[in-house]
Formats: sequence, C-alpha cells, structure tokens
Amino acid sequence: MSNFFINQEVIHPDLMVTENPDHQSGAKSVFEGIVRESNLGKSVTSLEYQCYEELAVKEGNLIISEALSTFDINYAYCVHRIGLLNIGDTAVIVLVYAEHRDDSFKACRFIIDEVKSRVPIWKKELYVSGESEWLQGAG
Amino acid sequence: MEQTIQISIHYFAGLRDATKKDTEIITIKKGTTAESVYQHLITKYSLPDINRLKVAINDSFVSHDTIIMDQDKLVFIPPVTGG
Repeated sequence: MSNFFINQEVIHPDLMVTENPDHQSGAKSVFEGIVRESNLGKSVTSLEYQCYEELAVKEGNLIISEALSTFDINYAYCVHRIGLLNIGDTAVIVLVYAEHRDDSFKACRFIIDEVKSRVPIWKKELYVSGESEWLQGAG
Repeated sequence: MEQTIQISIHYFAGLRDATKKDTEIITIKKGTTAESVYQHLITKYSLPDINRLKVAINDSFVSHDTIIMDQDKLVFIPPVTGG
C-alpha cells in the first residue's frame, strides 16, 4: 500500500480526510511543516521545492514501511508538497495512528526525520533582497 | 573498436542550475562507472565534489563505483533538504 505522496497542490490540513483504519487506535499524532518567514537571519518571501519524484515516492514508502515494522502503530501517512510555496503554506504532513501515544509520537518523529534526511526533495529559498539559494542540507 | 553506450543524466536542484539542463543524453565507453561519468561532467560544468552527492540508477540508490549500462537513467543527488 502506498502511503507517501508528492503533491503539487495546496495542502489543506483541516480538510484532509484521514481515515482511522479501525477502532483499535487510541492515539493520533500529526506533524505539519510550515513555511516560515526567515532563515539564518534572511527574510524569506517564498520557497521552491523540487523533487526527483520516482525515487522520492519509493524512498518515502520505504520509510513508512520501516515505521510500521519498527513501532507499534496501526497506520502511517505522509504527503510532501512541491512547487512554489508562500509563507504559512503547509509543506509536509505526517500522520500516525497507534494504540497508545508513545509509539504514535515516536513513529511520527521517525518519519519526518527520515524524510528530511533521505527523500530526494530540495528546497530553494527566495529572499526579500531578490536573491535565492538552494539549501545545502547536512551533507 | 571500443564499444560505447548511451545513457541519460537527469539533473535536480543546484546541479540543474549549474548545468542549465533538466536532462541530457551522453555517449560513454562501455564499463564506465557513475563516478567516472561525474569526473567527465566536472570538466564541462561547475559542479560540487562528488563526495557530497548520492547516486541513483534507474530510480534506485547505488554506490558511486556502479558500472553504467546502456540506456540507464543516471541521477546525481545533492544533499536533500525536504521537510
């Protein structure tokens, strides 16, 4: 089952239909990454996300599978937006259902950390000054 | 006669800006590794050191010393910055 998605369109977290797969889950954890207006002292006007989609979807789904086998959770989902995003836009959402909160939190944290370090998505910051640059990552 | 193969290289992020290309087809000697292809590209474009990059062939991560086959899709992957 594919539960990692790349999305060109605006993500509306409040309108997301995220099914609770059964009634065994007593915990739901959501992480939402949002575009902020500054980074390292520079004023940001917008972000451009670019993606190697075939490998991003493959690696993203592998991360979801790892979360499902590592933690005691019932359901995991992630969507990452690409294209041009404005301040306040939702860039990424991770959602996890579990029986209890501990593994729900842990799996949610695991998924966003792994997505940020493994999935081939790149972020370019566009600044008020008119300059722009691709962020360099951890290397 | 030396055998050659054709491969496609796809560029993303800073590499796309540096090469001013999304993709290109190149002809290389049979038996060439991904790293050797990159050393060739560095002579054409202003690119970062390969040690900062990962490599994918046909949408799967591979090691830098993987030999490229005819019609392969090769991607050099800069440090990712999603999220």
